[in-house]
Amino acid sequence: MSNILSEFDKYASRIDHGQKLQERAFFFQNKGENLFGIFYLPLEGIFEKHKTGIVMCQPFAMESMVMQRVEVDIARNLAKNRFPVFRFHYRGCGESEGVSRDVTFSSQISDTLCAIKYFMDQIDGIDSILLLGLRMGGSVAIKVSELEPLVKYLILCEPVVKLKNYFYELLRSKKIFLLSKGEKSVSIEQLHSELINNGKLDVLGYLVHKEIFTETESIDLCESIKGFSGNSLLVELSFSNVKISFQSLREQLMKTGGTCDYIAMKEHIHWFFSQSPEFTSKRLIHTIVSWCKENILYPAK
Amino acid sequence: MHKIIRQEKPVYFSVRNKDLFGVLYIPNVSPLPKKTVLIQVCRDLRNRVGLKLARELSSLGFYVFRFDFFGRGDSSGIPRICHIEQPFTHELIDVVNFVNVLLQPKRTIVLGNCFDAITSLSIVPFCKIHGLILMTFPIVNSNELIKQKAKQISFGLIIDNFRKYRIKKELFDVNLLRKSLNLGFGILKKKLINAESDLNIMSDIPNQFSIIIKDRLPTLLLFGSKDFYYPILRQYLEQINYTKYKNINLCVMEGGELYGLNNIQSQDFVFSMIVDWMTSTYIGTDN
Repeated sequence: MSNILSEFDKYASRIDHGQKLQERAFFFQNKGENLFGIFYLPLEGIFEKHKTGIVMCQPFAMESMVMQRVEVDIARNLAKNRFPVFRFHYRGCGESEGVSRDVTFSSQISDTLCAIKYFMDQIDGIDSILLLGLRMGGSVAIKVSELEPLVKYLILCEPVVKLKNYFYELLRSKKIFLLSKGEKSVSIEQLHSELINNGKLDVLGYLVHKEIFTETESIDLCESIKGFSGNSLLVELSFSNVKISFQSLREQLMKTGGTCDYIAMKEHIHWFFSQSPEFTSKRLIHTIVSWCKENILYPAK
Repeated sequence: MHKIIRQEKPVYFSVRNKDLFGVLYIPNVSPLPKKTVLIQVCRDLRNRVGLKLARELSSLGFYVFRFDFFGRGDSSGIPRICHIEQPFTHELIDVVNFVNVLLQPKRTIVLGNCFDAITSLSIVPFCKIHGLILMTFPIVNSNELIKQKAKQISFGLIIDNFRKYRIKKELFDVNLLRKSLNLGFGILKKKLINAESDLNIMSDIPNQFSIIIKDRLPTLLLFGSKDFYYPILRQYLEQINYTKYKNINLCVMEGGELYGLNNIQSQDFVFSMIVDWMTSTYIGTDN
């Protein structure tokens, strides 16, 4: 049987001569579960003067479906510009093993730390890490940066600053969806009680479990960042009322000794429902690639 | 708890000079005596329903291949706009051919949802397959779609709009006025003469279904009773007297909507219907 399996290994990678990159898909392990990941590697090799690898942290639940294509486009464009990139799926998400109740904030942090270690073991020459997080992936990236000293850079695309508010936003989206379908009105408090009493709640086809809710309800990233002193980019992606909390986050990142560039984009994104064709943004991709070049390849003295 | 040893392989493959991405699920038990593969058109069903289905079916002896079309998911290329009268027929035929070369299966079944179901149906006249699973798909052409949506607009709403101040603008905007009048008269006609329109099914559907009937192609149709296209599909199936044909199975989630799989109930329904149908149709049978 192992012979039969190994004959499929030759399909697990591709070379794009036009984009000058190689992609390699595989499974790696954390806590006994298989996690899915893809390396995006420049064909010409990484630059000698910088040895930073980029690890991407996914959004949560339905947002990972919405953002999947733009993640892929970002990874490919970075690799095209000679940055090695690692995209992976947390336990209980995407193509990885595990079930939805496995998905906690701690498990996502653990998986990201494991991904960093795996990346550095597999790819020669990497000695520092940039964490690129979208939405809750940004929140995870911030926490991981405080635990892993090799993380020198952060790119945070519309990170979730106050996680309790985020989960209430999810509950609100369920309420609005039910109303739009002409179903009986239900209050946020009722949904919250259902989540706590039943241990889980169906939110637009995704099971949100009590564990991740209670684990994160007291987390406010503006108050908890203390250890990261590297360079960061904060991107406000959509038309949302997050300016104040992003300003606070930015101030906090700078207070700890780092730099924080801030860019506001006004992209039209439906966070909870995928669109066709899938969402992507040339502007976001260009912004990220340019920032990486300026801060990693040609840092100001 | 016994750990399931999974055999899942990422696959990059070339179609029309572009690299598509898929994941192959190899049975982790003895494969069926007749090697059978289910091709899931489009990886990203909500809440990993496609992935869960693939893992369950591979534990029953089926091979499963889930993939992304151009410009979607992890595939390369530019995404094409999904137009219901222009399914991705040739691309899917190429994918089926690739899978047939890769695995050399005895039986190939294709599963599609919504637009991907139209694409799956569209290959029937051109490609030898052994089963079809179609979930909540559009069945009428674009013009008929507009008419059906018009039926949902109450006549009162049209009258109400005429009362509002915007009528002054509409009187001078010929196109807006024409559209409103067409809509209004269409509804009036329907209500006055109670006429049942011809269904205006998409032009390829009758041919595709006639092949399904002639070849006795096992076909599973999954809809929710609240899905937009369900009443039209039901009417069409009754017109062709579908209950006469044992190979066509219609499973309906009563009181629910499968479109978008926006709740766990619809996902569980789809999962269990597909697993049951695959098991009863292909395990221990001559299909």
